Amino acid sequence: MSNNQFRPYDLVLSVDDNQIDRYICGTIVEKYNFAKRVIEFDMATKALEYLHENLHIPENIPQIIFLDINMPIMSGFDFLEEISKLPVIIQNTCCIVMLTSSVNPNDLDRANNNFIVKDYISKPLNKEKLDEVEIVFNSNFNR
Amino acid sequence: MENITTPEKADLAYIEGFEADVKTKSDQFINYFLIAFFVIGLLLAMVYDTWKVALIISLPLLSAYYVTKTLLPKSNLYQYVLSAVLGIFMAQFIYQMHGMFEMHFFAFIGSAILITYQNWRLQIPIAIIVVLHHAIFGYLQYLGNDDIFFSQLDYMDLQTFLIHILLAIVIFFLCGLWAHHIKEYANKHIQQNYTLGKLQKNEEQNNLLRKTNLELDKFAYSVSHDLRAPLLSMKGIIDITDMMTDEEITKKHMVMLRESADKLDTFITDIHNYSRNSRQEIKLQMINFDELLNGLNQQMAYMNGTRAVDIQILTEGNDVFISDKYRVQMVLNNLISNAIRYQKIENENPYVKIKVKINSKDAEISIEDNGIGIEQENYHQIFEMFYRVSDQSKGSGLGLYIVKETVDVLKGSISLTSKKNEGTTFLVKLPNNN
Repeated sequence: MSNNQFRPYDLVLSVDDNQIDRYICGTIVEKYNFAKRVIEFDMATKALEYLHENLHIPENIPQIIFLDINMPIMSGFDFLEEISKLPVIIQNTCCIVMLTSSVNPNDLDRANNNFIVKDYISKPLNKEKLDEVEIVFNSNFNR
Repeated sequence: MENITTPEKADLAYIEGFEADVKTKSDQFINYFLIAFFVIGLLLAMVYDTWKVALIISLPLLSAYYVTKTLLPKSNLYQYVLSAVLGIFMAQFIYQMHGMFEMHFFAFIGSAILITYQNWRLQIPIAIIVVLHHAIFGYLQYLGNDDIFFSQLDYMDLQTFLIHILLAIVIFFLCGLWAHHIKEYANKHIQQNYTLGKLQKNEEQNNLLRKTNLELDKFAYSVSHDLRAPLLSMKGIIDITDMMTDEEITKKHMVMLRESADKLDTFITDIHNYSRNSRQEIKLQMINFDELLNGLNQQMAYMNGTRAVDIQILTEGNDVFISDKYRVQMVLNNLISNAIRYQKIENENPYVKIKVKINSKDAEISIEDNGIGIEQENYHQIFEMFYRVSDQSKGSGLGLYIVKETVDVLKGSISLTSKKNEGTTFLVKLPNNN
């Protein structure tokens, strides 16, 4: 398997309160050249703020957002609700992927029932899961 | 329902409490009545100057009553004594008033007083005394004994006497009847109140239980999440370390680390599943086996440390199958991952064949593998909690136990046929709730 199998995405966001998980996400994405740029946020509120500020700067709008569920202050689901209030350009260009350690089937249900969520994968992120994300992205968005 | 209608010890104690209450209050009334009777005796003594009779009879009567009551406070004997005492008071008053007819009514007053104890038997002593008194004194007077003072009537023939006694008996009977009725009614009422109170208590306990269950569920969920989150981070770091190193020894260590982490992860997930299965209510929904099994198949692809296995899925039947999706998924997940985990290394083409036959009554699911197999003597043990075939087993010892528990909750059945070194087939039958 070559490390450069992916055609790298321009920008990926990693939203997770756990620093190690953000590190894993960043390292895996970099290692497999999945994206040219990864921006990490330790809080969903900060990620939301970023999207607000960059609404009109196309190159700063991510193609993929890896979103944790259990986070203090603003959870992954709260974040999804806020996203749905943003201009549709976000929903039309961002592929939101839940990346979680949750074992609760209710979380999976909630994610499946939310049309903004395109995929639900369990931690830790690895090559196979990146493959899956790419397939999901291709079936939902045009590159 | 049974524990509500048949009185238990607690019920009886509750009723006894009420009875004691009735007794105490009645006893208080009786104290006043007895004083009144004594005073009436003294007043009557003034009219016909019968002081001697009044004192000689009243005082022993009062002492008989109070002595019995003091000596045997727990027994009801003093109430029977009271009944006799009231009868004799009547006789005393009749005698004191030289047979004045109105004094006979004291028999009825006594009878009425006794109703308060709600015991029809109390009417018996007074009735006997009244009958005996009337018979003896009436006969004596009839014989011409002038000192008897039974009746002011010049004579009392047998017919008058019989009517007189009959009416008295009717009154005693009625008073006894009412006493009995009141008693029964009161008991019913008490029981009802008690049952109501108990139901209320049950309701409260149920609510508490529901709340506790909910909290436990939340607890189990957050504990398993909090345990699992750092574990998954560790697994991620293991992956990265493994990926970045070329050192053989480190790679070897990473394999060992991953194995341990996987074991712990399985254990945490199993415990979470177990707690979910034992307390969550059944949630019925339509189940599409093709979809479900394909989803599981994809998950299995990520099972670490195992060689990929050829998973074949075959579903038959057009009936809609309705059951608890999460539980069915839990069962299949456990059985399929076991089939993969315990594959035979020497086999060139390890496989898992999953067949599902659905009809309107049930779904028959068979999961067949060509893995290491199970010895027949271990068939029943494998469903036991924490049972493991060997120390080398990779599982938590909970997987099949949870499968069995879950199948039981779904009111289904599970069986297996296996041959050591050849493979195992699990057969699960689940009722269709359609």
